Amino acid sequence: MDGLTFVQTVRKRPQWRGITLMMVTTESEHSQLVRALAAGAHEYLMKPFPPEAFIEKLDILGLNPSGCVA
Amino acid sequence: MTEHLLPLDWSVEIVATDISPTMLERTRTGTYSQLEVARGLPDAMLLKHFRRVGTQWQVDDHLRSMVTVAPLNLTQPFPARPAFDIVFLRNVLIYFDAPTKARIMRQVRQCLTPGGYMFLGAAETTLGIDDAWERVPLGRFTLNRAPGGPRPPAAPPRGTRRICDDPCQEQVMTPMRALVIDDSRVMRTLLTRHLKTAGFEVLQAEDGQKALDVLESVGVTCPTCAPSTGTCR
Repeated sequence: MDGLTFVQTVRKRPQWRGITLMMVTTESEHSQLVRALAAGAHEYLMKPFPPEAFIEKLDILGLNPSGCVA
Repeated sequence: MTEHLLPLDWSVEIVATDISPTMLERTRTGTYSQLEVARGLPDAMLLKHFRRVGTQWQVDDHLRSMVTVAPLNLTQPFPARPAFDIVFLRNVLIYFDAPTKARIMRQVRQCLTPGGYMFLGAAETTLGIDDAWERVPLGRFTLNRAPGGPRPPAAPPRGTRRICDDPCQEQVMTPMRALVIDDSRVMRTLLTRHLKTAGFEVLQAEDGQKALDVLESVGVTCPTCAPSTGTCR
């Protein structure tokens, strides 16, 4: 099961609506990524990434409970 | 905001103001450069609410239809309008001296519904300028609440999020939980470390099917989930 199929499967289940989905991908998976975002993924991060980039994405999604900064 | 925070039966009207006719015209067209839309706007929101026009991005018609554009000089008396629930006054007060700031904040208070909110920029404050505002901490931000109106619900403590509204019970609180799915063990370990640093409880799965099994077994609930889960509305 690829990432896109996973996103589509999760998004079909009403009780999983509250789940935030972030894709971690490579440059070569770009077209699949765009489709995954359209299917309901919230954010993506391109590999390789520095730790700050990951924390920054959590901030954008409002999911940084510890409040740690990049 | 329209998709995450508001009750479904609310309608939204947005009044966007500026002193500059050029800026008002730009707001009317809702067209922004790649650089402007890349500053903190989540990608999914960009794809959902903007469309590509040449090298620019334009806000879609639905969202633009909610917006009325109007000229406003903050230093002059505000024209009479129906009361607002929220006013965003971000990074503009820095251009005024303290007495003018106080006068503007007072005017904003008068055009808000009782208990309405004003959002300022990160470096701006009502403290010592217009102390009639109640300062409400929310995460790393501080909201400014106008006097009056019903009491807002208490914010959840740090490191927890509200997962379920049950009208009959107290709110259920739980630590935030993340599921890392990757076929590479190295990548799973790396992401798990980052998430734990950020305060998450972390589960792992090595492929999509196993991930679905994990989701089934942990019994995920959400704020507006299906009746089948029983306790949620």
